Amino acid sequence: MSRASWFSRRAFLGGSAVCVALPLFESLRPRLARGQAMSVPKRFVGYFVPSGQKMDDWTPAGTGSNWQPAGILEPLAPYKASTTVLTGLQNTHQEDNLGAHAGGTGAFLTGRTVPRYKTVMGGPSIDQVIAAAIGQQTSLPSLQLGGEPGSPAGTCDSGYPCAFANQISFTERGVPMPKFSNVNDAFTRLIAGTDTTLSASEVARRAALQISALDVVKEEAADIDGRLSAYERPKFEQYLDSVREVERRIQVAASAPLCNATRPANPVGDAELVQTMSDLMVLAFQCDLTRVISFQWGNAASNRIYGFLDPSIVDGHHNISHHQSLPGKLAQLKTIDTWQITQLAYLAQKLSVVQEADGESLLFHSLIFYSSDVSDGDLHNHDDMPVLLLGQAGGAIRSGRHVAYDHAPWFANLFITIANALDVPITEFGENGDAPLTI
Amino acid sequence: MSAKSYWGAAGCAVLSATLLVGCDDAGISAADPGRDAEVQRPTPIADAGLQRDASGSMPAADGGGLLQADAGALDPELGSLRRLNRTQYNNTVRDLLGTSLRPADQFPPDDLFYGFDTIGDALNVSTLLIEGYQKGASDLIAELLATPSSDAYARFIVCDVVTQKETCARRIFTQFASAAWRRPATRSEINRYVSLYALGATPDEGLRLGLQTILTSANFMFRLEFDPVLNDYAPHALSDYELASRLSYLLWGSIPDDALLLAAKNGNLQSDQGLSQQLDRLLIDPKISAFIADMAGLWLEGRKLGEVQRDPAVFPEWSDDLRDAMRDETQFDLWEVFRQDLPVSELLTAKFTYANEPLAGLYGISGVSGVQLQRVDLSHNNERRGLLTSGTFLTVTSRPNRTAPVLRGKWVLDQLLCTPPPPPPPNVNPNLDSAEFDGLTLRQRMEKHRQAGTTCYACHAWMDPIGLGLENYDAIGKFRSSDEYGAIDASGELPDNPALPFSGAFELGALIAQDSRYVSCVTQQIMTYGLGAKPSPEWVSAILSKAAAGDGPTIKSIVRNLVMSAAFRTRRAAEVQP
Repeated sequence: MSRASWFSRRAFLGGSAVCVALPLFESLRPRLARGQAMSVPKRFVGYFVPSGQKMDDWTPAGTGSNWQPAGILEPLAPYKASTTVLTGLQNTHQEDNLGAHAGGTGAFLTGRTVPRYKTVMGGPSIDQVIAAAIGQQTSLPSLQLGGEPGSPAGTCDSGYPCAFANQISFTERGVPMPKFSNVNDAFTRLIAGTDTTLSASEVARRAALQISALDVVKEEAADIDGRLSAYERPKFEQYLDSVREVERRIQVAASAPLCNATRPANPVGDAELVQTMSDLMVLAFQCDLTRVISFQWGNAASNRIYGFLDPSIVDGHHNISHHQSLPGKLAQLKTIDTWQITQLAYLAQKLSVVQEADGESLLFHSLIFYSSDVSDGDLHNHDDMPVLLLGQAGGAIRSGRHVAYDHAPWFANLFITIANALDVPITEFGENGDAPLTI
Repeated sequence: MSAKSYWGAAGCAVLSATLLVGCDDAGISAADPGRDAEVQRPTPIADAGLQRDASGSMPAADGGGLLQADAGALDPELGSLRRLNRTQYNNTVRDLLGTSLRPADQFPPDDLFYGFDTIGDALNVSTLLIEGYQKGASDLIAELLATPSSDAYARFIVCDVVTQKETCARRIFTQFASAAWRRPATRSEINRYVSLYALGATPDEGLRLGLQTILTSANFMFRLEFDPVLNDYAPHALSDYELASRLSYLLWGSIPDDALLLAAKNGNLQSDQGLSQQLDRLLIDPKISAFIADMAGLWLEGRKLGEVQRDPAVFPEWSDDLRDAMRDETQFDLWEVFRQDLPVSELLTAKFTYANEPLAGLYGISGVSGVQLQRVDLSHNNERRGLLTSGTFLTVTSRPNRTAPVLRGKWVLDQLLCTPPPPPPPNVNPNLDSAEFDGLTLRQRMEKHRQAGTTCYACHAWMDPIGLGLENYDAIGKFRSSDEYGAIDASGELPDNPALPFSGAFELGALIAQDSRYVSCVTQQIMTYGLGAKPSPEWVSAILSKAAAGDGPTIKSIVRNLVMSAAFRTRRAAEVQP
């Protein structure tokens, strides 16, 4: 078994980087001992684009295998066999009809409505449920990436907490998980700690010291926890959870595969940004630094300006998404939506050329869930959502098809299916997920 | 969508029930109860969700005279405990260690709520944040130990750990933790760090490890406040050190200094006189600039300038220099109103501002050269006066290629009057570019739209006339007499009962300056920022009523009354909502 075979296939950013696997470590043995020496890990990406899609150019004409990637989806034509388009799904919406963007963004991976005056969701996002099951052997159980930091001032959608506009991943306790929107920071975090000049025993000694320091912090925190009011303890549990996770990461990092990669140049412009983020995703999977990623290309109601696609686009995306059925704005939306799919196809291409130990591609072993906070940006509706899957989760998803549902199944139903496809045996999820969705 | 729930949640009043047709097919019934048949005065929203306990059935205070004075009437409950935000972390380590490192710039962003980054409930903790604290601690302690000439070194590294070993480590840790944690560290707490020290391969490594860990402790990250009786929901006086931190983080966004800690140690903060003395001292300390910078950046949204993009084809003069100058101008103006103790109304009517050459150029003001901002007299200027003519306000409320009167109106309602309008219902957005509007000015287009659809009317009747009155200023704040539709008619109305007519930014500024909603709103904004939670309307009123003397409240008088109020010195644990 050669882990190196799937680490060293591809250079990161122009051929100067190589991922190198260290010899097998103790921590990897249990996975191999189950008689799965040739098994390749499955990977998940929750991929968010803001403010909906131009649905008439999104929805394929035929169903089953009888469809062609056209309109917005045309850039996926080379990957039709790996693509599954699901139409007719709905996600939760806010009771008061306000906060459609923040609500849809908070619900994107959680299948839950968003609280108006709290900053913690009622439950985890599906990527975190998956990470809890398949992410514990990697140095990062999951990675949160994005294309925009939050706005530095002001209120978010209808005064909803900005926590739900700027994040799509939520811990088991529903705590929002911040994302990297800066390539440099993300790269540093992914590759950090691999000081190759240190001996193995010195690495282990330093890790032990760090663990001891965290033990002090935890003992102290336990004293404090006992003195806090019931209302404040959940905040403190966030702290304790985080400290424990840092401790776990230190332990795992000591035996993680070395991944030597060249720091990417700072991206200039949005096209370079999304492509570099995609490269980072591939790198993280390829080096097995994580198996679960969420990617939020834009925050809720993002007003990113797509003038680089077409000089006539001078207004922000969210403003344009309120298209009022004007032909000019609809044309601009189609341009933006198609460009976004082009970037998804870029990721598919990168994943498709990485060959795993079993001879299949990284794309084959991955599952990408791609959708948005709303369906039509002007209607703010949460039914008839634009949903597509990319990859086959190691063969668990029969891809290459368009499945149209007429009973408006929930995202939460689909999330059960996705988790199951990734070998995470859940039977319910979110507010409405009581059974898997048949794809 | 349900029109009823929309109105019920938001509460714009509707002009006339007879107008409730059109605009949206969603079944708005003219007979729908719960809507008044006249324009009401928009008042600061008393939103049930913001008030955790309005029952008034608070247990009787038992904390002595101070609490009985007025805490019984005001609920001092402030939600969840607060951790340091990024700004506070950087300020804290600057004041603790004299460092110029800003480790928190690499921390994950702090989520905003109510427009501020100080809200306890919204300041969550993530693994990334803990990793950031570890990295920050490592860098800061490395710098400390590498600079024996620094004040911080002299203050904390008080003995030679190589020769005196654990005895010295204990002294250093006690000294450092008591400063970093903003209250004396106990012997048993330090015992843990001494044990940690012993694990180091060398005395230096042990010392480094202990010092780093003090900066990753919950005692450092959180501003902890405890209740004498766990889960007893009676208000009680804060401890001396808790009060010292409330005060210093409110005014300096940073750690208490030695004098404040000493006042706490001596119990001086528990008396009106002692607290007042410290308050006066903090208010004139240069570190008060943190308060001004945050209010200018968050309340007045100067921080938003950083993400502003302008279409270069329309605004070729837009530049980073201009952006920076606008941000600084807002800070300088607020600073002067604060420092001179001018009424907060002056922000809207000030006949001065600060500008450098690029900004003065934009403003059409001659005689200003260089990149340094300088004070500019506006006594005889007919285009600039007060906040509503400032580049920051006019720019952050515009779109990349044009002004957005609705956004300007909304900003005034949100930030200056605290009467936010609800967002638009879906799918009723006006098509101001369609053929039926041909030949009309922007004002006429918007008026036609408002009349055409009454779902839109009620809220747009608040927002649009404010923004239309500011149309003399383009999307980067340059003055203009006409736009692409022709000469600008800068008449407008400030929503009230009845609405108050005005013409142009000067008159609007004067109207808002006189408006009781404005001073109430400024008070609410300062309190929300400083307390890290939305204060109850009663608390806002109580602070305002004491601050409003003479020409009206000043920032200092609001802050002073807040700090001296019993509620500020009191804590009540929040109940867990079922």
